[in-house]
Amino acid sequence: MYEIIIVGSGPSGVASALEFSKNNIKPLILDVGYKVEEEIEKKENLYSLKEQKQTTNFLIGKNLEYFKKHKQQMPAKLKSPFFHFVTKDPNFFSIINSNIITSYAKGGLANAWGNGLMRFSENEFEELPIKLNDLLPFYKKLEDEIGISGLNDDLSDFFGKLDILQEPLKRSKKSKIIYKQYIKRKELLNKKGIYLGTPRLGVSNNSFDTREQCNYDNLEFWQPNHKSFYNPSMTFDKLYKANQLDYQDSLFVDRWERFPDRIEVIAYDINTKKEVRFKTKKLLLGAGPLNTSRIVLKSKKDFSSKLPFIDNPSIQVPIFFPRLIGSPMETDCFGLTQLNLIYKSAILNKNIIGSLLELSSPLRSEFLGRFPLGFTDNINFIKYVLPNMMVCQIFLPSMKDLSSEISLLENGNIALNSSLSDIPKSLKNEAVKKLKALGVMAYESFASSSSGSIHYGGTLPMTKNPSSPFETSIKGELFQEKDIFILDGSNFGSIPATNYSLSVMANSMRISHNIALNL
Amino acid sequence: MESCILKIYLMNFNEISNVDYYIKTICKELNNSFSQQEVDLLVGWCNDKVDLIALEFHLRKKHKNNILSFTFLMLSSLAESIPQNQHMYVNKFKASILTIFKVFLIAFFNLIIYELKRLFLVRQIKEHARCMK
Repeated sequence: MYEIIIVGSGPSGVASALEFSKNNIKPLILDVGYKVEEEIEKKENLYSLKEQKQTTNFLIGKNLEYFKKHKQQMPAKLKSPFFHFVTKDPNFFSIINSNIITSYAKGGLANAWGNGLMRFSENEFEELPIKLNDLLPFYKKLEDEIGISGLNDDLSDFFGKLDILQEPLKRSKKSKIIYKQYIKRKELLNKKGIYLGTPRLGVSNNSFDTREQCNYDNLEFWQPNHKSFYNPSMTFDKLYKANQLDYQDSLFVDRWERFPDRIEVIAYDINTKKEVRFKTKKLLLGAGPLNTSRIVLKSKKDFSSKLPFIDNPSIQVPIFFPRLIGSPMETDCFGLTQLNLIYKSAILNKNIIGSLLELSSPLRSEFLGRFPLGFTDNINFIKYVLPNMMVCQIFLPSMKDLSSEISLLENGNIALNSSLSDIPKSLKNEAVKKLKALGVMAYESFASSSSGSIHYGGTLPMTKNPSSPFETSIKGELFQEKDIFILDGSNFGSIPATNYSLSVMANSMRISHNIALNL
Repeated sequence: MESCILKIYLMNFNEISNVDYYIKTICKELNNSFSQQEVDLLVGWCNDKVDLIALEFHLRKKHKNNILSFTFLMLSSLAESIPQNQHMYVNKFKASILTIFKVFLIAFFNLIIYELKRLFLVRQIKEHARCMK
């Protein structure tokens, strides 16, 4: 019988294993654990690669895999053929009426994350039953493990002042322009509650541990297991090599069954579909909010309860740099977050965070339908106007009006009941206004919005006094289910605007730490 | 179906090797991504010799995900993966003000043309829908 079984090898599962390893406890991790099908490592920059040889197989796939996810409106990164393993589905159940993205890959959705790893600020804990101090020791452990890059600048009050930060990435030409404008008008902007600064990322301008320094190759969207970007799989591999965790892959965990002296985890081999059972004293679920909730509902045989399902709504605002029009394209910059913007929303009375993104990594054709012109003119705009644009992706805190509900159907499928309304126009206008205050060209009419940003959570919220079978205690234990713990974003009853990845991992470590103390 | 895709392909790009293979794959992908009715409609439009670029402009304004924009996206992405087409997508040297002015002027001119074509197309599409009933 195992002492601890963790379901899921994503960020929360790996963070939990890391904490157990520090307490000399060796858990067993169960996961489907899809891996990249063909290991490739490109050494060139994306654009020189495209100039030198035909890249159809690499960028689009032998069987045009890039387009297969088109109808599901996948983010460009998840369409790329070598990232298909991230969203590969073992097809044990379907999600009805939904564009929810799930991952059964080793490392989970973090294989395709944007690498933003920052702490929540003190006031972002207001709607959570835990405080910053509860997570602080675990934030520190994770920051030491990951080697987060950044600067202690104007955003330190929000992301935390860190003693050691890795060398931040070089800024692109456009980011330098915005930052210069910000510095010029800093006092005035800060008075208005607008702050701009360096992002906290799991990628740096120097090498760290086994991670290589960023080589600005624009392959963020194309090279799986990129050696410059932190991925929980790196920690997983380190622990596995050091014999600090056991791992069984190719297993789809279906449910648990409780016996007087043990918990039995029932899984299915994805190849043979045969049932496999594991005995454990404590079961920790970190399979991602959707799968964790499905396992809970299935184990309880509950086909009627509807669990809240939340996400960060987002607004995408294109920013133009008219004085750069005609400039050559910058092909050696980091193709994701260059700067972070934080402003206080007068409408929500909460902090809103924006990521200023470079657009150099996706296929140029990905923007073909984004300009309001005909096909041939859009191609010309891609060549001459797109290199002089950035996009600010504004993340809003989860909102009740924009949340959905999930329930388990008797046939094992998951139904999503969405009562989605559009993001209020006033929030879009506010975002554009704040960007204009930075001195950049941005227009409301070009801003688009999305009800989610793949930051799922809220299904099994932590509360101080849990009272329903689908709430967890502060220790992460499911109500009336002794020794069943929830590790992932499911236990965040609300998600602030700040990227929750690091906080989910820290919370998973906090829960695991308490378990380790009581073993 | 294959011939219609070939027509669109020939309109815009050169240098794609293994044309037959890609045409077959694109046709398969279209059949997987859209309903048979939508695919038939695309074939119908191509055979009707409608201005496909104007039609795509119209459809994109009406519906974000439409079969023609998807076909154009596929062809454009394929073209982008060929070294000979890089000059179409990436500006490597500073472009002169004259070039930029020309691009904007042509885009503006075409925008007016396409809006006019749209008015004509809307009538044609309504007529097409009426006949289909």
